[in-house]
Amino acid sequence: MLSHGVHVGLGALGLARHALGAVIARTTTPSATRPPSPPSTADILPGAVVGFGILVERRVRAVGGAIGNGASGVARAVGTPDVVQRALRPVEDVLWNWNEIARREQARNRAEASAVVPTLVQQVAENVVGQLDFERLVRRIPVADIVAEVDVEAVVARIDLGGVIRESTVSLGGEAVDGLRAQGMALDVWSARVVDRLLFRKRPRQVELHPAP
Amino acid sequence: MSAHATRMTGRERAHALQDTRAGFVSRVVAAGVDVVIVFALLLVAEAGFAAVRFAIADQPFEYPKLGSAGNSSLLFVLLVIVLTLAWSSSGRTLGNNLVGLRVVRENGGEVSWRRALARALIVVAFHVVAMGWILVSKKNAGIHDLVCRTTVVYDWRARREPAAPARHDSRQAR
Repeated sequence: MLSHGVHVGLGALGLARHALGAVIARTTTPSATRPPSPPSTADILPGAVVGFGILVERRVRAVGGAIGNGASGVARAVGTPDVVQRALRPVEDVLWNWNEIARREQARNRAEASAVVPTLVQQVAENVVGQLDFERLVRRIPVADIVAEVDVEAVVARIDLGGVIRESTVSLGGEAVDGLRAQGMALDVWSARVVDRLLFRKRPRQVELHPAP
Repeated sequence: MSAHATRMTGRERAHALQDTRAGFVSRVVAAGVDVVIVFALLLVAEAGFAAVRFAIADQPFEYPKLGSAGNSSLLFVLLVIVLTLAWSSSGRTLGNNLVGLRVVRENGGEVSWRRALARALIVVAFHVVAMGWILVSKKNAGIHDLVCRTTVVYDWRARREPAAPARHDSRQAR
């Protein structure tokens, strides 16, 4: 957890540094004639700080792991006898109690945070959107240039319009024919029933080609 | 034709009645479509004859004056030819194809050209009686079916519906 937090923090620092560099580069006027110069010591200082941080974090983690392993081995060895376990029980109870208090408090905090965060995000988003001048932004989009760049004829040539129309027509026509066929079947059944009733027939017609014996 | 078939939905009925003997309405509709198509063919043939005569013999462009007897005879002959060719080849005329019907022998086999010719002659000559008999027949058979030992079955599948594997196998075997 700690390691993850450190990684995220270092990553955020790196991103912030990149963003700051980009902003500074935009605000200063670029000189087209000046050739790119090799980075100076001052330029590489932030990177060196971050690298040093990463190295320190790795060392601390390695030392912490070694100490933790040794301590847990000692604790297991010491805590195994019954006498020690009996003596440690009140301490364990106190620890459980604290843990339970912390768990409840954390659950309450999480619930409050999850209720606050959406409202906060929404309010921030609304304020940001309210500050934007959409009309000015839309006016700045070069729609005419974009349209001029699009080769409409090539796009239309890529679409098999005839195929699309043909497929949809065949599909619609086919389903209509199926509907008519089904209607014809229904009328066949109905007409046969009417005639069979007029002829006082009790048995149904033998419509199977190969009736079951 | 069971009473159960009357309570089915259209799709269920279409599925359940495949390969069973078709009834009166479907067959009359298919026959009507065939007659209209052949009549149109006759008109086109007579127009073609008039065009050839106009081009070659330098006569005015007009339909040949055959009279009702002549036209009926031509229609009769053309119908017999078209029906014979269709039934003996694929078992379907254009009308059958539209309605989803197929002509087969009583045992389910294909119809020979002789049988198809006899069937066509009977149904064209005695169309009212031959087709009307389907209504009263217990097997949905017309006079031409009884004489030639043939029958007409539903043979189409609703779209977006997987075909039954048994039917696929029987077609392959055929």
